[in-house]
Amino acid sequence: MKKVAIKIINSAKIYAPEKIEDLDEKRLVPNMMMRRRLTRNSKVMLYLSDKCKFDGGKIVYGTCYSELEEAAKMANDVVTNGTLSPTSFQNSVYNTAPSYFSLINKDKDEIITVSSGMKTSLDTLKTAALQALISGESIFCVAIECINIKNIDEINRCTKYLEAGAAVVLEIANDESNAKEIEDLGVSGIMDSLQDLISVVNMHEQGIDKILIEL
Amino acid sequence: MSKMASVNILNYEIHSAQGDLHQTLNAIKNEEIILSSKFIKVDQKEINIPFYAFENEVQEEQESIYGAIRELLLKLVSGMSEKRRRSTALIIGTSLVDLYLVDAIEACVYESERTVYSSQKHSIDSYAKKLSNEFGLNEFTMTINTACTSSANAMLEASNLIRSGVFDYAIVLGVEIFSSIMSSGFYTMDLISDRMPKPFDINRNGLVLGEAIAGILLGKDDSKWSIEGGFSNCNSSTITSVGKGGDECVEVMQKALEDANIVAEDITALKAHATGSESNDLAEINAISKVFDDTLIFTALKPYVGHTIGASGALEIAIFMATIDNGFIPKTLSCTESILADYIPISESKECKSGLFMCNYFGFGGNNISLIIKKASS
Repeated sequence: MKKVAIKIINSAKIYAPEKIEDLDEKRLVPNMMMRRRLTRNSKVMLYLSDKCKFDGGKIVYGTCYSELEEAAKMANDVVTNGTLSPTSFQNSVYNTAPSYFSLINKDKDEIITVSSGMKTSLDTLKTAALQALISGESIFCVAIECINIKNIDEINRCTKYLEAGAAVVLEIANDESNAKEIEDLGVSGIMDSLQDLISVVNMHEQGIDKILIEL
Repeated sequence: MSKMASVNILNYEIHSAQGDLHQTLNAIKNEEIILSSKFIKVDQKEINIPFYAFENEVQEEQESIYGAIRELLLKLVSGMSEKRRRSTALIIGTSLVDLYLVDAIEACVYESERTVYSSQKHSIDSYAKKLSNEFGLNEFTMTINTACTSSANAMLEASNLIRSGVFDYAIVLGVEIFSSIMSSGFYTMDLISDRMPKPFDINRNGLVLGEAIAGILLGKDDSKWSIEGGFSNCNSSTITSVGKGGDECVEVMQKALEDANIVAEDITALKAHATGSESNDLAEINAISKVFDDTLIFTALKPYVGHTIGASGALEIAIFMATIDNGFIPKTLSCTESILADYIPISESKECKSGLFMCNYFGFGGNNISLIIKKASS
Protein backbone atom coordinates (compact mmCIF):
# COMPACT_ATOMS: atom_id res chain seq x y z
CA MET A 1 0.00 0.00 0.00
CA LYS A 2 1.20 3.50 -0.78
CA LYS A 3 1.87 5.91 2.07
CA VAL A 4 1.67 9.65 1.68
CA ALA A 5 2.75 12.33 4.12
CA ILE A 6 0.19 15.02 4.71
CA LYS A 7 0.72 18.36 6.37
CA ILE A 8 -1.98 19.53 8.75
CA ILE A 9 -2.56 23.25 8.36
CA ASN A 10 -5.47 23.75 10.75
CA SER A 11 -7.58 21.50 12.92
CA ALA A 12 -10.63 21.59 15.17
CA LYS A 13 -12.85 19.27 17.15
CA ILE A 14 -16.00 19.60 19.18
CA TYR A 15 -18.21 17.20 21.11
CA ALA A 16 -20.90 17.19 23.75
CA PRO A 17 -22.76 14.53 25.76
CA GLU A 18 -26.08 15.65 24.29
CA LYS A 19 -26.39 18.81 22.22
CA ILE A 20 -23.47 21.09 21.38
CA GLU A 21 -24.76 24.36 22.75
CA ASP A 22 -22.75 27.13 21.11
CA LEU A 23 -22.11 26.64 17.43
CA ASP A 24 -21.96 30.38 16.78
CA GLU A 25 -24.75 30.02 14.25
CA LYS A 26 -25.94 33.64 14.22
CA ARG A 27 -22.54 34.96 13.24
CA LEU A 28 -21.81 32.18 10.79
CA VAL A 29 -25.22 32.24 9.10
CA PRO A 30 -26.75 35.71 9.47
CA ASN A 31 -29.68 34.86 7.20
CA MET A 32 -32.35 33.62 9.60
CA MET A 33 -34.34 31.68 7.00
CA MET A 34 -31.28 29.77 5.93
CA ARG A 35 -30.21 29.23 9.53
CA ARG A 36 -33.53 27.66 10.40
CA ARG A 37 -33.21 25.14 7.59
CA LEU A 38 -29.83 23.84 8.68
CA THR A 39 -29.50 20.30 9.98
CA ARG A 40 -27.40 19.49 13.05
CA ASN A 41 -24.57 18.06 10.95
CA SER A 42 -24.61 21.23 8.81
CA LYS A 43 -24.30 23.48 11.86
CA VAL A 44 -21.42 21.45 13.27
CA MET A 45 -19.70 21.49 9.87
CA LEU A 46 -20.02 25.27 9.58
CA TYR A 47 -18.59 25.65 13.08
CA LEU A 48 -15.62 23.38 12.37
CA SER A 49 -14.88 25.01 9.02
CA ASP A 50 -14.81 28.40 10.72
CA LYS A 51 -12.44 27.13 13.39
CA CYS A 52 -10.22 25.72 10.63
CA LYS A 53 -10.40 29.05 8.75
CA PHE A 54 -11.75 27.23 5.71
CA ASP A 55 -14.30 29.04 3.56
CA GLY A 56 -13.96 27.35 0.20
CA GLY A 57 -12.22 24.64 -1.78
CA LYS A 58 -12.33 20.88 -2.02
CA ILE A 59 -14.12 19.02 0.77
CA VAL A 60 -14.14 15.39 1.82
CA TYR A 61 -16.94 14.78 4.29
CA GLY A 62 -17.51 11.59 6.27
CA THR A 63 -20.44 10.41 8.31
CA CYS A 64 -21.49 6.97 9.37
CA TYR A 65 -24.99 7.83 10.54
CA SER A 66 -25.73 10.81 8.29
CA GLU A 67 -28.62 13.12 9.22
CA LEU A 68 -30.13 10.89 11.88
CA GLU A 69 -32.50 13.53 13.24
CA GLU A 70 -34.03 14.09 9.80
CA ALA A 71 -34.25 10.35 9.18
CA ALA A 72 -35.95 9.88 12.54
CA LYS A 73 -38.43 12.67 11.77
CA MET A 74 -39.28 10.96 8.49
CA ALA A 75 -39.76 7.59 10.14
CA ASN A 76 -41.93 9.11 12.84
CA ASP A 77 -44.00 11.08 10.31
CA VAL A 78 -44.66 7.97 8.27
CA VAL A 79 -45.77 5.97 11.30
CA THR A 80 -47.84 8.65 13.04
CA ASN A 81 -49.65 10.35 10.16
CA GLY A 82 -48.49 8.60 7.02
CA THR A 83 -47.12 11.83 5.58
CA LEU A 84 -43.55 12.40 4.64
CA SER A 85 -42.18 15.91 5.13
CA PRO A 86 -40.48 17.08 1.91
CA THR A 87 -38.10 19.17 4.02
CA SER A 88 -37.00 16.19 6.10
CA PHE A 89 -36.64 14.16 2.92
CA GLN A 90 -34.47 16.80 1.26
CA ASN A 91 -32.37 17.11 4.39
CA SER A 92 -31.91 13.40 4.97
CA VAL A 93 -29.38 12.66 2.24
CA TYR A 94 -25.81 11.92 3.29
CA ASN A 95 -24.30 14.95 1.60
CA THR A 96 -26.69 17.49 3.15
CA ALA A 97 -24.09 19.14 5.40
CA PRO A 98 -21.50 19.89 2.70
CA SER A 99 -24.29 20.97 0.37
CA TYR A 100 -25.46 23.60 2.86
CA PHE A 101 -21.84 24.63 3.33
CA SER A 102 -21.61 25.05 -0.45
CA LEU A 103 -24.76 27.17 -0.53
CA ILE A 104 -23.75 29.41 2.36
CA ASN A 105 -20.11 29.90 1.41
CA LYS A 106 -20.76 29.89 -2.34
CA ASP A 107 -18.16 27.14 -2.53
CA LYS A 108 -18.33 25.60 -5.99
CA ASP A 109 -15.54 23.08 -5.62
CA GLU A 110 -15.60 19.30 -5.46
CA ILE A 111 -17.24 17.54 -2.53
CA ILE A 112 -17.09 13.84 -1.77
CA THR A 113 -19.22 12.21 0.92
CA VAL A 114 -17.90 8.98 2.38
CA SER A 115 -19.62 6.54 4.72
CA SER A 116 -17.61 3.56 5.94
CA GLY A 117 -19.05 2.43 9.23
CA MET A 118 -16.64 2.63 12.13
CA LYS A 119 -13.79 3.37 9.69
CA THR A 120 -15.53 6.43 8.32
CA SER A 121 -13.06 9.07 9.51
CA LEU A 122 -10.06 6.95 8.47
CA ASP A 123 -11.49 6.53 4.97
CA THR A 124 -12.32 10.23 4.93
CA LEU A 125 -8.67 11.00 5.70
CA LYS A 126 -7.51 8.56 3.00
CA THR A 127 -9.84 10.09 0.43
CA ALA A 128 -8.74 13.60 1.39
CA ALA A 129 -5.07 12.61 1.10
CA LEU A 130 -5.80 11.12 -2.32
CA GLN A 131 -7.62 14.28 -3.41
CA ALA A 132 -4.69 16.40 -2.20
CA LEU A 133 -2.27 14.16 -4.08
CA ILE A 134 -4.23 14.37 -7.31
CA SER A 135 -5.13 18.05 -7.19
CA GLY A 136 -2.11 19.57 -5.44
CA GLU A 137 -4.58 21.67 -3.47
CA SER A 138 -5.40 21.86 0.24
CA ILE A 139 -8.44 19.84 1.29
CA PHE A 140 -10.96 20.32 4.08
CA CYS A 141 -11.43 16.90 5.67
CA VAL A 142 -14.31 16.68 8.12
CA ALA A 143 -16.29 13.93 9.86
CA ILE A 144 -19.40 14.45 11.94
CA GLU A 145 -21.96 12.36 13.84
CA CYS A 146 -25.07 13.87 15.44
CA ILE A 147 -27.32 11.20 16.91
CA ASN A 148 -29.10 13.17 19.62
CA ILE A 149 -32.57 12.03 18.59
CA LYS A 150 -35.63 11.37 20.68
CA ASN A 151 -35.35 8.20 22.75
CA ILE A 152 -31.77 7.60 21.66
CA ASP A 153 -31.07 6.20 25.12
CA GLU A 154 -33.18 3.21 24.11
CA ILE A 155 -30.53 2.07 21.65
CA ASN A 156 -27.33 3.89 22.43
CA ARG A 157 -24.80 1.40 23.75
CA CYS A 158 -21.66 2.81 22.19
CA THR A 159 -21.13 6.48 22.84
CA LYS A 160 -21.01 9.00 25.64
CA TYR A 161 -21.13 11.92 23.21
CA LEU A 162 -24.21 12.20 21.04
CA GLU A 163 -22.84 15.06 18.96
CA ALA A 164 -19.25 15.20 17.80
CA GLY A 165 -17.15 16.31 14.89
CA ALA A 166 -13.54 16.75 13.87
CA ALA A 167 -11.87 18.48 10.96
CA VAL A 168 -8.50 19.28 9.48
CA VAL A 169 -7.29 21.30 6.55
CA LEU A 170 -4.52 19.25 4.95
CA GLU A 171 -2.17 19.29 2.00
CA ILE A 172 0.55 16.98 0.72
CA ALA A 173 3.80 17.50 2.64
CA ASN A 174 6.95 18.33 0.71
CA ASP A 175 8.77 15.37 2.23
CA GLU A 176 8.20 12.52 4.67
CA SER A 177 10.86 13.52 7.21
CA ASN A 178 9.50 13.51 10.77
CA ALA A 179 6.08 12.39 9.55
CA LYS A 180 4.28 10.28 12.18
CA GLU A 181 1.87 7.39 11.82
CA ILE A 182 -1.59 8.08 13.25
CA GLU A 183 -1.32 7.50 16.99
CA ASP A 184 -4.14 6.24 19.14
CA LEU A 185 -5.03 9.57 20.71
CA GLY A 186 -8.79 9.29 20.44
CA VAL A 187 -11.21 10.58 23.02
CA SER A 188 -12.86 7.84 25.01
CA GLY A 189 -16.62 7.85 24.57
CA ILE A 190 -16.68 9.40 21.10
CA MET A 191 -18.01 7.14 18.36
CA ASP A 192 -15.45 4.91 16.69
CA SER A 193 -16.44 6.32 13.31
CA LEU A 194 -14.71 9.59 14.31
CA GLN A 195 -11.75 8.37 16.36
CA ASP A 196 -9.08 8.36 13.65
CA LEU A 197 -9.72 11.98 12.73
CA ILE A 198 -10.00 12.95 16.41
CA SER A 199 -6.56 11.34 16.91
CA VAL A 200 -5.11 13.39 14.06
CA VAL A 201 -6.60 16.59 15.51
CA ASN A 202 -5.12 15.74 18.92
CA MET A 203 -1.72 15.05 17.34
CA HIS A 204 -1.88 18.45 15.65
CA GLU A 205 -2.79 20.10 18.96
CA GLN A 206 0.36 18.50 20.40
CA GLY A 207 2.47 20.12 17.70
CA ILE A 208 2.69 17.24 15.23
CA ASP A 209 1.78 18.60 11.83
CA LYS A 210 3.06 15.90 9.49
CA ILE A 211 1.15 12.62 9.37
CA LEU A 212 1.57 9.47 7.29
CA ILE A 213 -1.58 8.15 5.69
CA GLU A 214 -1.67 4.68 4.17
CA LEU A 215 -3.85 4.81 1.09
CA MET B 1 -7.43 19.25 -10.84
CA SER B 2 -4.46 18.30 -12.97
CA LYS B 3 -4.95 16.91 -16.45
CA MET B 4 -6.19 13.39 -16.14
CA ALA B 5 -4.17 10.49 -17.50
CA SER B 6 -6.70 8.14 -19.00
CA VAL B 7 -7.83 5.07 -17.09
CA ASN B 8 -9.30 2.19 -19.04
CA ILE B 9 -12.69 0.58 -18.68
CA LEU B 10 -12.04 -3.14 -18.81
CA ASN B 11 -15.45 -4.69 -18.26
CA TYR B 12 -19.00 -3.81 -17.29
CA GLU B 13 -22.19 -5.61 -16.27
CA ILE B 14 -25.65 -4.39 -15.38
CA HIS B 15 -28.94 -5.52 -13.97
CA SER B 16 -31.75 -3.10 -14.82
CA ALA B 17 -35.53 -3.24 -14.96
CA GLN B 18 -35.13 -4.56 -18.50
CA GLY B 19 -32.90 -7.45 -17.36
CA ASP B 20 -29.18 -8.12 -17.74
CA LEU B 21 -26.93 -6.26 -20.17
CA HIS B 22 -27.97 -8.34 -23.17
CA GLN B 23 -31.69 -8.11 -22.35
CA THR B 24 -31.48 -4.36 -21.70
CA LEU B 25 -29.73 -3.83 -25.01
CA ASN B 26 -32.40 -5.81 -26.83
CA ALA B 27 -35.16 -3.87 -25.07
CA ILE B 28 -33.55 -0.60 -26.19
CA LYS B 29 -33.01 -1.81 -29.77
CA ASN B 30 -36.56 -3.08 -30.08
CA GLU B 31 -38.11 -0.29 -28.01
CA GLU B 32 -39.85 -2.92 -25.92
CA ILE B 33 -39.60 -1.20 -22.57
CA ILE B 34 -41.15 -2.68 -19.47
CA LEU B 35 -42.42 -0.01 -17.08
CA SER B 36 -44.16 -1.43 -14.04
CA SER B 37 -45.41 0.19 -10.85
CA LYS B 38 -45.11 0.18 -7.07
CA PHE B 39 -47.45 1.05 -4.25
CA ILE B 40 -46.33 3.73 -1.83
CA LYS B 41 -48.11 5.14 1.20
CA VAL B 42 -48.82 8.85 1.26
CA ASP B 43 -51.24 10.54 3.69
CA GLN B 44 -52.45 7.14 4.91
CA LYS B 45 -53.45 6.22 1.36
CA GLU B 46 -51.85 3.69 -0.92
CA ILE B 47 -50.86 5.25 -4.22
CA ASN B 48 -49.67 3.42 -7.29
CA ILE B 49 -46.74 5.09 -9.02
CA PRO B 50 -44.91 4.05 -12.19
CA PHE B 51 -41.57 2.43 -11.40
CA TYR B 52 -38.87 0.65 -13.39
CA ALA B 53 -38.69 -2.49 -11.26
CA PHE B 54 -36.62 -5.66 -11.48
CA GLU B 55 -38.50 -8.62 -12.93
CA ASN B 56 -37.74 -10.62 -9.79
CA GLU B 57 -38.36 -8.47 -6.77
CA VAL B 58 -35.44 -7.67 -4.48
CA GLN B 59 -36.82 -7.22 -0.98
CA GLU B 60 -36.10 -4.03 0.91
CA GLU B 61 -33.94 -5.85 3.41
CA GLN B 62 -30.20 -6.41 3.81
CA GLU B 63 -29.81 -10.06 2.83
CA SER B 64 -31.90 -9.72 -0.28
CA ILE B 65 -30.02 -6.62 -1.42
CA TYR B 66 -26.68 -8.25 -0.65
CA GLY B 67 -27.65 -11.29 -2.73
CA ALA B 68 -28.54 -9.12 -5.73
CA ILE B 69 -25.30 -7.12 -5.57
CA ARG B 70 -23.30 -10.32 -5.06
CA GLU B 71 -24.81 -11.89 -8.19
CA LEU B 72 -23.69 -9.00 -10.36
CA LEU B 73 -20.23 -8.71 -8.81
CA LEU B 74 -19.70 -12.41 -9.39
CA LYS B 75 -20.01 -11.83 -13.15
CA LEU B 76 -17.35 -9.10 -13.03
CA VAL B 77 -14.77 -10.95 -10.94
CA SER B 78 -15.26 -14.49 -12.21
CA GLY B 79 -12.44 -14.19 -14.76
CA MET B 80 -10.04 -12.43 -12.43
CA SER B 81 -7.10 -14.24 -10.86
CA GLU B 82 -6.65 -14.28 -7.11
CA LYS B 83 -3.68 -11.95 -7.39
CA ARG B 84 -5.58 -9.47 -9.53
CA ARG B 85 -8.50 -9.50 -7.14
CA ARG B 86 -6.20 -8.64 -4.24
CA SER B 87 -5.10 -5.48 -6.02
CA THR B 88 -8.67 -4.41 -6.76
CA ALA B 89 -10.42 -1.75 -4.68
CA LEU B 90 -14.19 -1.73 -4.39
CA ILE B 91 -16.17 1.50 -4.38
CA ILE B 92 -19.94 1.52 -4.12
CA GLY B 93 -21.97 4.53 -5.17
CA THR B 94 -25.48 4.49 -3.81
CA SER B 95 -28.15 6.57 -2.18
CA LEU B 96 -29.61 3.44 -0.66
CA VAL B 97 -31.28 3.91 2.66
CA ASP B 98 -29.09 2.39 5.36
CA LEU B 99 -31.37 -0.41 6.48
CA TYR B 100 -29.26 -1.11 9.55
CA LEU B 101 -29.91 2.46 10.56
CA VAL B 102 -33.61 2.12 9.80
CA ASP B 103 -33.76 -0.83 12.17
CA ALA B 104 -32.13 1.29 14.85
CA ILE B 105 -34.46 4.23 14.29
CA GLU B 106 -37.53 2.05 14.25
CA ALA B 107 -36.44 0.59 17.53
CA CYS B 108 -36.35 3.94 19.25
CA VAL B 109 -38.32 6.77 17.71
CA TYR B 110 -41.82 5.46 17.74
CA GLU B 111 -44.08 6.43 20.59
CA SER B 112 -45.12 2.86 21.28
CA GLU B 113 -43.91 -0.70 20.88
CA ARG B 114 -40.29 0.07 21.56
CA THR B 115 -37.97 -2.85 21.28
CA VAL B 116 -34.44 -3.33 22.45
CA TYR B 117 -32.01 -2.71 19.62
CA SER B 118 -28.69 -4.44 19.53
CA SER B 119 -26.14 -2.60 17.41
CA GLN B 120 -23.76 -4.72 15.37
CA LYS B 121 -21.92 -1.63 14.16
CA HIS B 122 -23.14 -2.12 10.64
CA SER B 123 -23.34 0.75 8.21
CA ILE B 124 -24.17 1.43 4.60
CA ASP B 125 -20.58 0.40 3.79
CA SER B 126 -21.21 -3.07 5.22
CA TYR B 127 -22.15 -4.38 1.77
CA ALA B 128 -18.78 -3.35 0.32
CA LYS B 129 -16.81 -4.78 3.24
CA LYS B 130 -18.64 -8.11 3.06
CA LEU B 131 -18.30 -8.37 -0.72
CA SER B 132 -14.61 -7.52 -0.60
CA ASN B 133 -14.12 -10.25 1.97
CA GLU B 134 -16.14 -12.85 0.13
CA PHE B 135 -14.49 -12.29 -3.26
CA GLY B 136 -10.93 -11.80 -2.01
CA LEU B 137 -10.69 -8.19 -3.18
CA ASN B 138 -8.40 -5.65 -1.56
CA GLU B 139 -9.61 -4.58 1.87
CA PHE B 140 -9.90 -0.98 0.66
CA THR B 141 -13.59 -0.28 0.24
CA MET B 142 -15.52 2.92 0.16
CA THR B 143 -19.17 3.86 -0.12
CA ILE B 144 -19.94 7.22 -1.66
CA ASN B 145 -23.34 8.75 -1.18
CA THR B 146 -23.81 11.96 -3.10
CA ALA B 147 -27.38 11.19 -4.21
CA CYS B 148 -27.84 11.02 -8.01
CA THR B 149 -24.11 11.46 -8.64
CA SER B 150 -22.95 8.72 -6.24
CA SER B 151 -21.63 6.11 -8.67
CA ALA B 152 -20.41 8.73 -11.16
CA ASN B 153 -18.35 10.22 -8.34
CA ALA B 154 -17.27 6.70 -7.44
CA MET B 155 -15.91 6.32 -10.99
CA LEU B 156 -13.92 9.52 -10.67
CA GLU B 157 -12.52 8.40 -7.30
CA ALA B 158 -11.67 4.96 -8.70
CA SER B 159 -9.85 6.66 -11.58
CA ASN B 160 -7.92 8.77 -9.06
CA LEU B 161 -6.89 5.65 -7.14
CA ILE B 162 -5.59 3.97 -10.29
CA ARG B 163 -3.80 6.89 -11.89
CA SER B 164 -2.08 7.80 -8.62
CA GLY B 165 -0.73 4.25 -8.51
CA VAL B 166 -2.49 3.21 -5.31
CA PHE B 167 -4.33 0.36 -7.02
CA ASP B 168 -4.02 -1.50 -10.29
CA TYR B 169 -7.75 -2.08 -10.57
CA ALA B 170 -10.97 -0.77 -9.06
CA ILE B 171 -14.52 -1.97 -9.31
CA VAL B 172 -17.30 0.60 -9.12
CA LEU B 173 -20.74 -0.64 -8.21
CA GLY B 174 -23.81 1.54 -8.59
CA VAL B 175 -26.65 0.24 -6.46
CA GLU B 176 -30.24 1.36 -6.08
CA ILE B 177 -33.10 -0.83 -4.89
CA PHE B 178 -36.73 0.27 -4.50
CA SER B 179 -37.16 2.22 -1.29
CA SER B 180 -40.65 3.14 -0.19
CA ILE B 181 -39.34 6.10 1.81
CA MET B 182 -37.35 7.47 -1.09
CA SER B 183 -40.24 7.08 -3.51
CA SER B 184 -42.60 8.76 -1.04
CA GLY B 185 -40.09 11.57 -0.61
CA PHE B 186 -39.91 12.24 -4.33
CA TYR B 187 -43.72 11.99 -4.53
CA THR B 188 -44.26 14.56 -1.77
CA MET B 189 -41.90 16.90 -3.61
CA ASP B 190 -44.22 16.57 -6.60
CA LEU B 191 -41.44 15.18 -8.77
CA ILE B 192 -42.93 11.84 -9.87
CA SER B 193 -44.51 11.55 -13.31
CA ASP B 194 -47.61 9.45 -13.89
CA ARG B 195 -46.20 7.99 -17.11
CA MET B 196 -42.96 7.24 -18.92
CA PRO B 197 -40.67 10.24 -18.41
CA LYS B 198 -40.33 12.71 -21.27
CA PRO B 199 -36.86 14.19 -20.89
CA PHE B 200 -36.38 17.61 -22.49
CA ASP B 201 -39.98 17.62 -23.75
CA ILE B 202 -42.04 20.78 -23.25
CA ASN B 203 -44.74 18.57 -21.72
CA ARG B 204 -42.47 16.70 -19.30
CA ASN B 205 -44.07 16.30 -15.91
CA GLY B 206 -41.54 14.56 -13.73
CA LEU B 207 -39.29 11.60 -13.30
CA VAL B 208 -39.88 7.90 -12.84
CA LEU B 209 -37.63 6.11 -10.40
CA GLY B 210 -36.04 2.77 -11.09
CA GLU B 211 -33.83 0.14 -9.53
CA ALA B 212 -30.54 -1.12 -10.88
CA ILE B 213 -27.18 -2.60 -10.04
CA ALA B 214 -24.29 -1.84 -12.34
CA GLY B 215 -20.62 -2.73 -12.10
CA ILE B 216 -17.62 -1.31 -13.95
CA LEU B 217 -14.07 -2.63 -13.77
CA LEU B 218 -11.35 -0.01 -14.25
CA GLY B 219 -7.63 -0.50 -14.70
CA LYS B 220 -4.62 0.23 -16.86
CA ASP B 221 -4.77 -2.89 -19.04
CA ASP B 222 -5.43 -2.32 -22.73
CA SER B 223 -9.03 -1.64 -23.61
CA LYS B 224 -10.94 0.15 -26.33
CA TRP B 225 -12.83 2.18 -23.69
CA SER B 226 -11.25 4.75 -21.40
CA ILE B 227 -12.16 7.53 -19.01
CA GLU B 228 -10.43 10.57 -20.44
CA GLY B 229 -11.39 13.11 -17.82
CA GLY B 230 -14.04 14.42 -15.54
CA PHE B 231 -15.01 17.12 -13.14
CA SER B 232 -17.18 17.07 -10.07
CA ASN B 233 -18.30 19.95 -7.95
CA CYS B 234 -20.93 21.02 -5.50
CA ASN B 235 -22.69 24.14 -6.60
CA SER B 236 -26.39 24.49 -6.10
CA SER B 237 -28.83 27.32 -6.21
CA THR B 238 -31.06 25.48 -3.71
CA ILE B 239 -30.53 22.32 -1.66
CA THR B 240 -32.27 20.22 -4.31
CA SER B 241 -31.47 21.75 -7.66
CA VAL B 242 -29.35 23.93 -9.87
CA GLY B 243 -30.46 27.28 -11.29
CA LYS B 244 -32.68 27.27 -14.37
CA GLY B 245 -30.04 29.04 -16.45
CA GLY B 246 -27.81 26.01 -15.95
CA ASP B 247 -24.64 27.98 -15.13
CA GLU B 248 -23.63 25.42 -12.49
CA CYS B 249 -23.84 22.67 -15.12
CA VAL B 250 -21.92 24.78 -17.66
CA GLU B 251 -19.01 25.04 -15.25
CA VAL B 252 -18.88 21.27 -14.70
CA MET B 253 -19.06 20.45 -18.42
CA GLN B 254 -16.39 22.98 -19.35
CA LYS B 255 -14.01 21.84 -16.65
CA ALA B 256 -14.51 18.20 -17.63
CA LEU B 257 -13.53 19.13 -21.20
CA GLU B 258 -10.46 20.96 -19.87
CA ASP B 259 -9.54 17.99 -17.72
CA ALA B 260 -9.66 15.73 -20.77
CA ASN B 261 -7.69 18.32 -22.73
CA ILE B 262 -10.33 18.61 -25.44
CA VAL B 263 -12.85 21.21 -26.63
CA ALA B 264 -16.60 21.00 -27.09
CA GLU B 265 -16.27 20.38 -30.83
CA ASP B 266 -14.35 17.15 -30.10
CA ILE B 267 -17.39 15.56 -28.44
CA THR B 268 -19.07 12.96 -30.65
CA ALA B 269 -22.23 12.73 -28.53
CA LEU B 270 -23.54 13.54 -25.07
CA LYS B 271 -25.51 11.41 -22.64
CA ALA B 272 -27.61 13.82 -20.66
CA HIS B 273 -28.71 13.45 -17.04
CA ALA B 274 -32.23 14.37 -18.21
CA THR B 275 -34.53 13.19 -15.45
CA GLY B 276 -37.72 14.53 -17.01
CA SER B 277 -38.25 16.98 -14.15
CA GLU B 278 -39.33 20.53 -14.91
CA SER B 279 -36.39 22.46 -13.50
CA ASN B 280 -33.43 20.11 -13.96
CA ASP B 281 -34.12 19.45 -17.63
CA LEU B 282 -34.46 23.16 -18.26
CA ALA B 283 -31.16 23.85 -16.48
CA GLU B 284 -29.37 21.08 -18.34
CA ILE B 285 -30.55 21.99 -21.83
CA ASN B 286 -29.76 25.66 -21.21
CA ALA B 287 -26.29 24.58 -20.10
CA ILE B 288 -25.86 22.37 -23.17
CA SER B 289 -26.78 25.32 -25.39
CA LYS B 290 -24.09 27.44 -23.70
CA VAL B 291 -21.32 24.87 -24.15
CA PHE B 292 -22.15 23.23 -27.51
CA ASP B 293 -23.47 24.37 -30.84
CA ASP B 294 -26.81 23.07 -32.08
CA THR B 295 -25.30 20.24 -34.12
CA LEU B 296 -24.56 18.30 -30.93
CA ILE B 297 -25.92 14.76 -30.84
CA PHE B 298 -27.40 14.15 -27.40
CA THR B 299 -29.71 11.64 -25.85
CA ALA B 300 -31.31 10.56 -22.58
CA LEU B 301 -31.46 7.01 -21.23
CA LYS B 302 -33.91 7.35 -18.35
CA PRO B 303 -37.02 6.48 -20.40
CA TYR B 304 -35.43 3.02 -20.86
CA VAL B 305 -34.43 2.27 -17.27
CA GLY B 306 -35.78 5.04 -15.05
CA HIS B 307 -33.92 7.37 -12.74
CA THR B 308 -31.84 4.97 -10.73
CA ILE B 309 -30.40 7.72 -8.48
CA GLY B 310 -27.16 6.44 -6.94
CA ALA B 311 -26.80 3.69 -9.56
CA SER B 312 -27.39 5.98 -12.53
CA GLY B 313 -23.70 6.91 -12.91
CA ALA B 314 -22.45 3.39 -13.50
CA LEU B 315 -25.66 2.09 -15.10
CA GLU B 316 -26.04 4.74 -17.77
CA ILE B 317 -22.36 4.74 -18.72
CA ALA B 318 -22.50 0.95 -19.07
CA ILE B 319 -25.64 1.10 -21.23
CA PHE B 320 -24.19 3.92 -23.31
CA MET B 321 -21.01 1.90 -23.92
CA ALA B 322 -23.00 -1.22 -24.75
CA THR B 323 -25.08 0.58 -27.38
CA ILE B 324 -21.98 2.07 -29.01
CA ASP B 325 -20.32 -1.35 -28.90
CA ASN B 326 -23.34 -2.40 -30.92
CA GLY B 327 -22.89 0.47 -33.34
CA PHE B 328 -25.53 2.99 -32.30
CA ILE B 329 -26.56 5.77 -29.94
CA PRO B 330 -30.13 5.19 -28.78
CA LYS B 331 -32.79 7.76 -29.48
CA THR B 332 -34.50 9.70 -26.70
CA LEU B 333 -37.79 7.93 -26.25
CA SER B 334 -40.91 10.00 -25.73
CA CYS B 335 -39.52 13.45 -26.44
CA THR B 336 -41.75 14.92 -29.14
CA GLU B 337 -41.12 18.66 -28.79
CA SER B 338 -37.92 19.89 -27.24
CA ILE B 339 -37.74 22.69 -24.66
CA LEU B 340 -35.29 24.52 -26.94
CA ALA B 341 -36.20 24.46 -30.63
CA ASP B 342 -32.55 24.42 -31.74
CA TYR B 343 -31.42 21.75 -29.30
CA ILE B 344 -33.32 18.55 -29.92
CA PRO B 345 -32.35 15.21 -28.41
CA ILE B 346 -32.05 12.59 -31.16
CA SER B 347 -35.41 11.20 -32.22
CA GLU B 348 -33.89 8.32 -34.18
CA SER B 349 -30.98 6.11 -33.23
CA LYS B 350 -27.68 7.27 -34.73
CA GLU B 351 -24.97 5.02 -36.06
CA CYS B 352 -21.87 5.38 -33.94
CA LYS B 353 -18.96 3.05 -33.30
CA SER B 354 -16.33 5.20 -31.64
CA GLY B 355 -15.54 8.70 -30.42
CA LEU B 356 -15.41 10.97 -27.41
CA PHE B 357 -18.50 11.18 -25.26
CA MET B 358 -19.67 13.35 -22.40
CA CYS B 359 -21.85 11.83 -19.66
CA ASN B 360 -23.68 14.21 -17.33
CA TYR B 361 -25.05 13.71 -13.83
CA PHE B 362 -26.65 16.57 -11.89
CA GLY B 363 -27.98 15.71 -8.47
CA PHE B 364 -29.53 16.67 -5.16
CA GLY B 365 -27.55 19.11 -3.06
CA GLY B 366 -25.90 20.59 -6.14
CA ASN B 367 -23.58 17.65 -6.62
CA ASN B 368 -22.76 17.79 -10.31
CA ILE B 369 -20.38 15.73 -12.41
CA SER B 370 -19.45 15.32 -16.06
CA LEU B 371 -17.31 12.43 -17.25
CA ILE B 372 -15.55 12.19 -20.61
CA ILE B 373 -15.20 8.68 -22.00
CA LYS B 374 -13.63 7.51 -25.23
CA LYS B 375 -13.90 4.51 -27.49
CA ALA B 376 -10.93 4.06 -29.77
CA SER B 377 -11.80 3.57 -33.42
CA SER B 378 -9.95 0.33 -33.93
